[in-house]
Amino acid sequence: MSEQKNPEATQEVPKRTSAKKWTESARKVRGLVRDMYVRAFTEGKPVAWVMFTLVNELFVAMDVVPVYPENFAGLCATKRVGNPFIDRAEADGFSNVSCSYARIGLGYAALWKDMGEIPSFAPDGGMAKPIMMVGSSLVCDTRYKWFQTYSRYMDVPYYAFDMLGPPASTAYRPDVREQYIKYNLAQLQGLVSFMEERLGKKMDWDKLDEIVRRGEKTYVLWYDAYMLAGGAVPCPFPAEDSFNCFFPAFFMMGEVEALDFYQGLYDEIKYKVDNKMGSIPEEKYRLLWGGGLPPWHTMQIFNYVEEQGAVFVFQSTYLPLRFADVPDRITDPLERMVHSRYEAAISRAELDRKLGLFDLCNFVGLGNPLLFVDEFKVDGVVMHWLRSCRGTTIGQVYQKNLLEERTSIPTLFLESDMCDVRDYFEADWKVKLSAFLETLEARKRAGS
Amino acid sequence: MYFAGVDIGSTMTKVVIMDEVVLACVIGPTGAEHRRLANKVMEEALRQVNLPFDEISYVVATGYGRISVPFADKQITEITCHAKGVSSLFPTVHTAIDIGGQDAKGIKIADGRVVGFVMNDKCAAGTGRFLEVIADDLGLRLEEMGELSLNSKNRVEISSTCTVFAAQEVVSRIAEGTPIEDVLAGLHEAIASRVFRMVERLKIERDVVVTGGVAKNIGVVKALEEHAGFPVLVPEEPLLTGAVGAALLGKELTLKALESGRPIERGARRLEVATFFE
Repeated sequence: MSEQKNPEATQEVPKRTSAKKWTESARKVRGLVRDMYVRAFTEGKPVAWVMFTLVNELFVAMDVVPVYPENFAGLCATKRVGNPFIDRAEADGFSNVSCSYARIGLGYAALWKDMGEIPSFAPDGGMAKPIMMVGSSLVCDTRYKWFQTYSRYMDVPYYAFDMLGPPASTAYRPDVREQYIKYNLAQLQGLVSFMEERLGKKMDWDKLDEIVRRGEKTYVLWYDAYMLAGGAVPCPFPAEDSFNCFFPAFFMMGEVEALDFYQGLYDEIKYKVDNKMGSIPEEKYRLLWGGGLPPWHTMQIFNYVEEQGAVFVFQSTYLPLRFADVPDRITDPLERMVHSRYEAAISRAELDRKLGLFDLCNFVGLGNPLLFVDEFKVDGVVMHWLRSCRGTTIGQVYQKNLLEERTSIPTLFLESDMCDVRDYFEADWKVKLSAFLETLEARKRAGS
Repeated sequence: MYFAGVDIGSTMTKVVIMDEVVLACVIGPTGAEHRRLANKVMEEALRQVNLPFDEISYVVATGYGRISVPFADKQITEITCHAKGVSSLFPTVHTAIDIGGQDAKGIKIADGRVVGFVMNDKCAAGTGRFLEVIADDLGLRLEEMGELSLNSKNRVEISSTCTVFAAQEVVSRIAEGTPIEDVLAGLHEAIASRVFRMVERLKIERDVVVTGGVAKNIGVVKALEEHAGFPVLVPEEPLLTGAVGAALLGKELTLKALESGRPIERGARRLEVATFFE
C-alpha cells in the first residue's frame, strides 16, 4: 500500500478518546475487535459485510468471516479517523443527517474505489474485500439501502432480509406470534439459500444446531451478567464497559470465544458484586444512560462524570436479550433462532404492558428507562440526542415526560452524534453534565 | 467576611465582591486580548473596595472559563450560579432565561435550587452573537437596537434558523426599503421565539426572570413577554446574576464549613494570569 495522508492528521486529536476500562473483560474487547478485522484478511475464508441482525450464527456455521461496517464506523470514530470517510460519502451526495455509521462505511468503500486500495489510515487494516453483502430491516430504515449501496461500490451481490418485531400491544397474541415466526423463518431460509449459492456449498445443519445452542447459552450469560451488574451497589461495571462488552454478543455470537467471554464477564461481575467491589472510590450519584447510542468519538466523557463522583450504572441502549428457554420440541436450528428472538421481543413488550404504555405507543422498549430507574436505584437519567440516528433518538422526549410523570428523577439531554465529531461540542457537554450533577446534589441536600 | 464571584462568559467577564451586600462589581470583555487577564478584572474590583486579595474569604468561578481560573477556590457551573443569583434577587422566580453572548439557557427553579435546565446547541442563532452580527451589518450600536425596535408598526418575519441567513435576510429587507425598526422588531421576535421554544421544554412557570446581556435589549424582552403572555422580570444589572450567585454560593460553603467546624476547602488562589481551556 502506498502512503496516504489522513486528511484529519493535521487537526489536533485528543491524546485519548476512549474511556478507562474498569473490568478485565472490557479490557479484552479491543483485542477481539482487532482479531475480527485481521482474521478477515488472514484466514483465507470468504468475507461478508453484514448488518448487525442477530444472525451471526449462520456465518459461523458456513465458515464465513462476517465483518460489520457498523462496528467499523464506531472504531473509526474512537480513533478519530471517521470524518475523512464521512466527507467522502457526503461528496457523493449522502446527506449530513443520514446515519454516520453508514456514511463512514460508504466513504470507506468510495475511497477504496477511488484509490484502488484500502485507505492506509483505516484502523486495524480496514474491512477486507467481501464476496457478499447482507443487510436487513432490523432496528432502522437506513439498512436496506445502505448495504445495497455498498454492493454497488464493491461490485458484489447483496441480500436483504426482514427480521420483524411485532407491535408491542399485539406481540403476546398467539395468532400474531405464529404469523411473525412463520414470516421471519422464511426470511432466514432465504438468506441461507443465498449464502449456499454464493459459497457453492450446503449448510451443515448439525453444525448450525450446535452453534445456535451455544449462542442460546451465550445470550443467557450476557443478560445475567448485565442485569446483575446494573442492580449492584456499588457499581462494578459502568456503562462505558457495558458499551464495550456487547461486542461479542453482537458480532461473535455462536463462537466459542463469545461464550467464554460472557462466562468470564459473569464470573468477574459476580465476584465483584459478592465482594462489594465498585469502580469509582465514592459513588455519590448513580446515573442511567437512558437512550441513544454512545459518543464513540469521545467515550472518555464517562470518566469526566466519574471524577465528580457519578457513575453510569447501566445503559439501556444495547440491552441484552432476555432469552426464554426454547422448547426441546423445536429441533430445526433456524426455527430455534427465530423463536428465541421473537420470545425475547415479547418479554420486552410484556414489561411495557405492565407499565400500561400500550395506549400511548407501540414501540417496544419504551418503558426501559422507567424500569431501570427503579430497579437500579438511579438518581438521574441522561439521554443522547443523535443528529444522525432516528432509530435510537425517537421516543426520548416521550420517555423523559414519562419519567417526569411517574418519578421525580431528573433527565438531561445531550446532543451530538455517535460518530460524526463535527456535531460534538465538549465544553457544552461538560457544563451540562457538571450542572446536572450539581442539580442532583442540590436535590439530595433538599431531601427529595 | 468578603466573598467574590467570577463569571467568565464567552463575551464578558464579570466580578462581584460582597459581604452582606454587593460592594463592588466590574464587567470587562473576555475577548481574545482579555481572555488571559481575568485577574485584571478581579484586581479592579478589589481596588474599588480597597481590599487586598487575601481578605477575600472565598472565590467561586463560573462560566465557560471557570475551569482554569487560578485564583478560585471552587468552580461551579453557570446554571447553578445563575439560579442562585436570580433567586436572591427575585425569591418568587420559577423560571430563569439567560441569553448571553454565545449561549442561551433556561433554568427551572424551585425553592432557590435548580430542578431542570436546557441550553442551546452549538449555534449562534438565539444568542447575543446573533444581535452583534446584525448590529455590525447595519452599522448600529447594540444599545440602541432595543429602543429603536419599539417604534415598529409592521414587524417583518426574519428566519430564526441561522444567523448567517438571517443577516442576509436583514440586508435584503433594508435594501427593499423596509423601515429599520420593523426589521429589528422581526429580529428580536426571531430570537425570542427560538429561546422561548427551547425553554418551553421545561414547562415555563411564573415568575420568569430574564438575564444576560440580551436582557438589556427591551425589544427582545418585550417579544419574550408576548410569547409568555405575561410580564417578565429583569434585574437592574442582568449581566451580574451569575457572579452574584457564585459569590453567594461561596458564602454558603464558607459559613457551613465554619458552622460544622470543618476546614474550608480552598484552591491554590494565585491571583495571576489565567490559562483557559487547557
